Amino acid sequence: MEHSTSRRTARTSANLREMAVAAAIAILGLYMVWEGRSYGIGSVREMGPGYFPVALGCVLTVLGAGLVLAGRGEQRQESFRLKPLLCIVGAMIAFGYLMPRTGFVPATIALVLLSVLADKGFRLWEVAVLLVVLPVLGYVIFVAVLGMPLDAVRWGA
Amino acid sequence: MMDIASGFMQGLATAMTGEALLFCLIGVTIGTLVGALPGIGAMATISIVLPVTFTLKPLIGLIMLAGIFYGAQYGGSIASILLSIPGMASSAVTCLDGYPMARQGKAGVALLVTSVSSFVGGTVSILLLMLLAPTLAEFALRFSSVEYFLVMFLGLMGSATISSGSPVKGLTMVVLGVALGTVGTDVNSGIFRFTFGTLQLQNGFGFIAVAMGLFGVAEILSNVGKPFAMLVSAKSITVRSMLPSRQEARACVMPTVRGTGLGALFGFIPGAGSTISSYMSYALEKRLAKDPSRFGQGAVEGVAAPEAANNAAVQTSFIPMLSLGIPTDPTLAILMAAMIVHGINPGPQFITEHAPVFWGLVASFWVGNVLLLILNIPFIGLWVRLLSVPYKFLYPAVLFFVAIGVYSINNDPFDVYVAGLIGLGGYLLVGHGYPPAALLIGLVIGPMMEEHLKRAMLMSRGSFSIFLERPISAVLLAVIGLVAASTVVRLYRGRSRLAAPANP
Amino acid sequence: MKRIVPALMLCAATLVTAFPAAAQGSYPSRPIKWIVPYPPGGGASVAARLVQEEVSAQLGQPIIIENRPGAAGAIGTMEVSRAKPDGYTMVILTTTNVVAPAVNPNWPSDTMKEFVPVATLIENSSILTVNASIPAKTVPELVALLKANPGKYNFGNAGVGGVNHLTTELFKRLTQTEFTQMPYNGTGPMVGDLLAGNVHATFESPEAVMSHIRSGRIRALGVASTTRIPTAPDIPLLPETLPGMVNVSFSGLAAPAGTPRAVVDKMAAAVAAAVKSPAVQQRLRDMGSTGGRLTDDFGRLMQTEIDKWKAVASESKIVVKPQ
Repeated sequence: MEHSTSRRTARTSANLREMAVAAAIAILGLYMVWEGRSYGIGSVREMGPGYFPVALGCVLTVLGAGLVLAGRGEQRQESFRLKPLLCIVGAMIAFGYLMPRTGFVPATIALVLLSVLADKGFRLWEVAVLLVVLPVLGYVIFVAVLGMPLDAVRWGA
Repeated sequence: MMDIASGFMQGLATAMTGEALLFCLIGVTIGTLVGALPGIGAMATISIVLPVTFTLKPLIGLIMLAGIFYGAQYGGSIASILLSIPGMASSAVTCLDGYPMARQGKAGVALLVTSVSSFVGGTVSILLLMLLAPTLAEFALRFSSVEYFLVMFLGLMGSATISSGSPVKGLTMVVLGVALGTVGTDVNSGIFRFTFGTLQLQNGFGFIAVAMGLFGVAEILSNVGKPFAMLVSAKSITVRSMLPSRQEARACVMPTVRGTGLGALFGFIPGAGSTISSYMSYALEKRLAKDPSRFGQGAVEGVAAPEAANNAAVQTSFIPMLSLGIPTDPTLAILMAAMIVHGINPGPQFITEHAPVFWGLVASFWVGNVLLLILNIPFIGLWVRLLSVPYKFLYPAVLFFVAIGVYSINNDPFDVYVAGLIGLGGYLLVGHGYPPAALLIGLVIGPMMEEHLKRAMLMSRGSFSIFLERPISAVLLAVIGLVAASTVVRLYRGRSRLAAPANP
Repeated sequence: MKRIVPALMLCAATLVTAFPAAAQGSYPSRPIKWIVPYPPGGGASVAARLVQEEVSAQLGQPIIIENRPGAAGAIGTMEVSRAKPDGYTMVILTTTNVVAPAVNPNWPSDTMKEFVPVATLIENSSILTVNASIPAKTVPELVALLKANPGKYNFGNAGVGGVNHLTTELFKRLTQTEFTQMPYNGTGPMVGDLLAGNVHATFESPEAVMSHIRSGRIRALGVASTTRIPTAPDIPLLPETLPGMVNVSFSGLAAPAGTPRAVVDKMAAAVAAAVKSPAVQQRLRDMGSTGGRLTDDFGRLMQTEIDKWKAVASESKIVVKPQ
């Protein structure tokens, strides 16, 4: 059980996040209207490239605004932990970055190492198992069986 | 009628020869594998395998390629249930109840139900194909962009209600998905929309990257680091646990029937048949259920109906191609190219000029569906066992497969970045009650809807009355009106539920 | 002592000049890559795979086909234009490579400068067809109908800025008529609407429309070519009533500029032999197409088309991707 003030704080911050998400949607809607107009709206008969985006943007803005208002009393999400978020997303980005430059063995190593950081309960041997098994498995399935043109390791660009 | 029966028997004889059986088996196996794995899809696989078929007899090659196509529909549901990662858009709704079922230890039941209902959907649909191909083809011809737009609108509208949370949030995700779909090159003018100067966004957000991010990465983000995060305990894997209870089995019957009907009916919709069918059938079942709140928590109907629908749709989607020579799916276009290269031109004369090929192919669909049923069931135990792996081993593996699968689409890191960042956004949205499946259908259907609306307006020279003038579209408009009205009424009655916390 | 250095240098010089020759003599000594800048399943892939086996057999080395889609063909095209011109990387050029320069100011590739044409694999010209319900059996009748009902009829095309879109524009200019162009994203849906009567007329490739012409749902008014289609000799030639109403759609093999002529010729010969094989000939005939136009001839074809479409596009002010 949490201390009552920290529970209140937790609720408020979750509530803010709820409204922030809705607000972000509304802002996205506004952006779409603004940018969409520059693509040319055209007429109903010959709809320009901007017609749909502007229409969608309007709907999104209305929905987003409505959700901001409706979200004032709400809170949903449990704990919002930043570190696992950054680790996992970082793992993906590292993988993508390294793949063409270093081949998929280093990329996989980076992905595993970063994603493992997200969970505190890892023992060294468990990480080692992942570091060995995954590249091998990936190689077998994607390169050997499916024949994708992926290099295992590349030196230089 | 006798013609059809004798044609089918002949076709069956051809399809059951050793060679045909072998290649059918190879095709459906590859299809299942490819449908289950993230990244590579049926279309890419078929084009890779295409040259191999040139060395085979034409019919045999076609049997294999077609097997990959509909086999992928079977495979797509596996990852949906086990990991909440849809292999393709039409498997996305299976995640909604299939994944909760897996987390309740009923993964075996879910997998068995999908196999069986997929089989039923596919088989009945093949029957329709055999009996009514020309009629259905003529029906398909009555659909122009006017009708397609309305069907898609109906599909999207229905999708807003698939989650157990607020329909407003569902609608928002649908619209957001459509908005994401506008990113890319506008077909008519060639202008880049929202591409921010990047080369890759000129093709828009790839469905795979978004689906992997939204479902795969976001799910990992919400599970990772939690104590005792294991999906299923190893104890619950027995043959008995794979079988549904009598009550569950009975509950599946009508949804499967309805799903099959929907799928068979809408399969011919270009590029969207199986997706729209599966979402609509889920929405329909939820609406018809006595207790809709069960949906999203592991309701077995929510698995049976869409799976029947998407398999039925995939089989009837062959009809325009075989009867008229018009492929309604880019994958079917490749199949058609394969046929053309062999000198067999699908089209109006196909069924009469090349009757043995037509019947051989149709019979092979049936054989393939049987093979898939036989193939999938033994593996269910294996898949369920996968879930008993401790989560801390599972999630890096899943992340790895997602990353490499997404990367392999274009050999481009950009797709991986997209998956990662969408995963981040998805995690925030999902955590606040916005249903991800709704975004996915918006993304897939949105661009098509825009194209059809534009064309409808071009056809009508700018007048909206065309929606009323054409008979089919008038009917569709009435249905849309009814559904919208009933949704608003429900909203009004259960107004407090707008803010009710529930799982997306 | 004094003679050794010049002697060594002479040996070195001989060796250095001999190596390329030796390399050429043994071309190809490893697999050759053909890049298709489009997703698999399209016409370019079909064309490449049509001759892949036979060419591999001819050359004694496998031909590997790789799809490199993206940016409507630009990505794959650019990749090969920058590749080493050693004959081991080639590209399948298509009509896009002669049309895009005309309509797309951002098209990054100068087809004639960056590539050496090797051979065409598939070539055909578009057929003008109308829905059977249209009361016009010949081109003059159609033109009269269009002139009497400006803006009423719909011409469909399979893609904005594509060769058939431009061909329709050319038709518009040559006949001085008014009608609505309806763009589609692909041939399939467009042909569907043509059959249903939502589209009244279209210019399309033979394989897209032949079976429907035979079924009677649509009528062929003419083919945009100076030679008749062997499998459909009764389709009139459009240039006879409308001079200049010609187009060519193709998929052809090309190598990066700077590829040695001997290598190009060797590949061209292999392709020519493959195209002449009975199996390929039969398939080409079924598609209402021909193939096997070689090097300089292919180059001349591309240049003609590039110039023609540049003129059409600028007159009709067709611009795709103006950013």
